[in-house]
Amino acid sequence: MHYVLLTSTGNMIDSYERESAARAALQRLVDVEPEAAEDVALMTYGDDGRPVGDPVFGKAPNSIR
Amino acid sequence: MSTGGEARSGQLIVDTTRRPITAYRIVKGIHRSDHLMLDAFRSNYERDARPRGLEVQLALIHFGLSMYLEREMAAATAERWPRLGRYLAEIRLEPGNGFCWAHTAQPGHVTVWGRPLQLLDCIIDILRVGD
Repeated sequence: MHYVLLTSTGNMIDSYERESAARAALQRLVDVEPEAAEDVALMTYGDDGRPVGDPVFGKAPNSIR
Repeated sequence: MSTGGEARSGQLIVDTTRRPITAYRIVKGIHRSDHLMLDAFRSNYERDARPRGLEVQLALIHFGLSMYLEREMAAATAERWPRLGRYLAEIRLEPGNGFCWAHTAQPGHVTVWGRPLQLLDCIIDILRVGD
């Protein structure tokens, strides 16, 4: 699996081989920049390049999501 | 190439368009003349977005545009996150325009570098996601 951080502009900003590392990186982004909670998504792709599952978003501080 | 968010030590192998290649960009507009279409070909750097993630360490990622080598990959991505756009621009990256590209992230994903107006000129079709 490939774990990819995409922004709402459609551009990849990072990629990971481990989901835990990708989720941690996403949350670090959102902790520093709360608006990234809606602007950056973690997408999971299979080896065939097709997405798997739904995008994951970080949780902004003090947000109820 | 893997951008290697974890390793941070991978090589970024950038290719030039010595031969035409076709790639798909998720876009929000349907008309070439739509300002949304030109915006779709502006990198995060050009949009004055501060660098995030790997963009901090690799300015080339900040300067680049994500595209997909297969229409289905782009369409499936747009379907999972509709905010990205509901259309796909099919782009023929022709030699002579100074375009560069590299395999990045997952298989079939490429980062493309080019001037927005020239990329716009290379659109050969605009497809609705789901058609």
